[in-house]
Amino acid sequence: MRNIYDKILGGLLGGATGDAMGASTEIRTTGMIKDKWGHLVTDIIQAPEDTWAHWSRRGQVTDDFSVSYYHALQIIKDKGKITEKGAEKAVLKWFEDPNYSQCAGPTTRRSIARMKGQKLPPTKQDRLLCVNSRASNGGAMKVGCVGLFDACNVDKAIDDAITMCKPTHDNTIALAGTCAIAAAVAEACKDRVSYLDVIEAGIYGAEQGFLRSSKIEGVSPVAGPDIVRRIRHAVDLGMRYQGRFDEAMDILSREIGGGLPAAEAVPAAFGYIAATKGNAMDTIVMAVNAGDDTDTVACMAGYIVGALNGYDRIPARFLELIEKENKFDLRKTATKICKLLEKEDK
Amino acid sequence: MIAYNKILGCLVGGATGDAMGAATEIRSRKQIHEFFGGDVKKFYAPPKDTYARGSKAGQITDDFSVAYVTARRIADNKGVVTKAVAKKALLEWSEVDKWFSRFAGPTTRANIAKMKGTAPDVNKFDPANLFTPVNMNAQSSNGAGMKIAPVALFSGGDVDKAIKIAITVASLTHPNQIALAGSCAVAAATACAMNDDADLFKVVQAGLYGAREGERLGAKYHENAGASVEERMKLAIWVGLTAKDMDEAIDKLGSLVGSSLAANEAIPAVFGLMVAAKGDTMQGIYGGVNIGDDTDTIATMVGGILGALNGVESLPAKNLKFLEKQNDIELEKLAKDIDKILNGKA
Repeated sequence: MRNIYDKILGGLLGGATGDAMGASTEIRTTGMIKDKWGHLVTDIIQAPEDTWAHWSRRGQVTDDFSVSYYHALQIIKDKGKITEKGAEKAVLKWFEDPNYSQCAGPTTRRSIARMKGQKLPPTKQDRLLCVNSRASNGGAMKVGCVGLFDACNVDKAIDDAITMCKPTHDNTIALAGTCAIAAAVAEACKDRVSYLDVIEAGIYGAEQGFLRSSKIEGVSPVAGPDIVRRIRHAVDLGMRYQGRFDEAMDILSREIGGGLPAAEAVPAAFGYIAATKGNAMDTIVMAVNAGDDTDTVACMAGYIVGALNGYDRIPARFLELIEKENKFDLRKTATKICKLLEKEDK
Repeated sequence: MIAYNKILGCLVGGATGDAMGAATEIRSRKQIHEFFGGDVKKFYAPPKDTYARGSKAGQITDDFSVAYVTARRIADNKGVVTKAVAKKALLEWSEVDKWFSRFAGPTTRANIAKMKGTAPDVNKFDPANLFTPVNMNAQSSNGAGMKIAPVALFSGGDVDKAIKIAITVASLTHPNQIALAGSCAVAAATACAMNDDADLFKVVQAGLYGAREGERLGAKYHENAGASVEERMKLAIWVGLTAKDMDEAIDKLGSLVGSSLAANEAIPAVFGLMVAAKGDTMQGIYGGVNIGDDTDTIATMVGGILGALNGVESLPAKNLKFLEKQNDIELEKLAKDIDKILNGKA
């Protein structure tokens, strides 16, 4: 039996490790990663000059985990309550750090300007019924923490995920992807669960996330792929290639992709979990090396497999490096989340 | 000997798809049904909340217009395809307000600005300008495929020549292996379709060959990170082949394969729809028009390929004159000029 603390810290550390490790490989293809480093990246290394994380030191996380961490701190401040107001506060506070704000994605950036009451320059898209490019992975990338606060409670995680991410990603496809990750992390916190339970919860989360968010005012429909269908397909491929790491990574990256759209990044995360049977470091390493938006996919997948396996399946030196380089206290944060969970139980 | 009706069919098919899809673009299939009361099977004036707002029924957008201008200038150059001619045509097209300024996509726009030396001043506050990214993954778009079917007519039915033509023309605006794989797939399929003994099976196989070749040749320009056009085409062809009817195929292709701006969604969707429609020109075009998201681009490509396969008789007789009139273009004259070039009547 695993202590809940092990799982909560595992989620945080998994997400942070995925982000810090993926920061160096982001936007490259698997081939380019192998060319540059001579092998797959399996450690946290310095990011090169020609990528988003060009500013970072080895061990620093990018927008993905940092915004998630800021949300977690705000939720702790709000005694475990997840509210839209709290979410807005967390995003605005996070955006004040120039390191993080410079890597904010287009959808997040636009929402922040709106929250601040800034007038946005008119664009061609203003009159459009749906802006399909906003169905991005920016909600899913930060939502892992919600699954920890709502540990073992999949349905609450889905509702809270919508509440937290709606201020920045107010469309059905982005939110479906968001809920898939939150639901999977919440399920992963249960005692004696397998990677299959976690995948099932993710599919349920995507389905419910789409349905529930489309009934909420202010959430707009967009045209795009169905996340549920794509997760199923990615998991199908992952299962077929279990035990064959390179082949699995190759087919998932060629067929599912791992880019900015939620409908690629989220299914990819579940495909890697299926291919590696939920092994913590194998999942993270696959996400880091599959190419494209690697840090985001590795952060999301890392949250899930970290919670599933517990923190001790991730090298302890990563924990030390990440805490030091980012001035994060993941252990203390995990303790605080656990205390909130205990209170709920009473 | 290339049949004249196939040449004209390619042109009228492409223009039909573009003009019909202009009304449904950016909507999801559900939103198309809500707005129009069912699948769209005729020319409508586009609604106010889409890119083509203000256009009249039957007016084309960027997709077919850039193809038309390019094919026209190549015909004037006696059918010889060179970078110089393609570039001149592109610049000429970019001066036509009703086509370029209203519709041009982000990748085409950025690369034309670069050509003209009118790229906007670098915004130092835009984080994307603080470094030179090794990849521009968002440029793996369908803009290279959308314009290529009419241009591929100059191959005279030679698949390899069509691939070469596509690389020459499309690398001006989309120099990456994913966009060019999409372009070469469409070009190869069109070339194959022009031959007297062509059938759907051969056309689809030529498309797969084109995607493979396009990926290989395109990688010489640049390799972006992203899913493979060929791999997703296989998935789409399987979906198209196994769906029980067109209705199911459209839904499944839209939700699993996707139908967005990305070349690795739009081009696979084209091939899935053609298979599902059993090669019927109008059924295929209707599929593209109603699949949702980037409908006009998908319908343009389907119309170009199947128009070439089945000839102009496979399209409603009134379309030719109607489209010529609404857009002030001369499709019949262009087809006659191409016929003269290909069949040695010049």
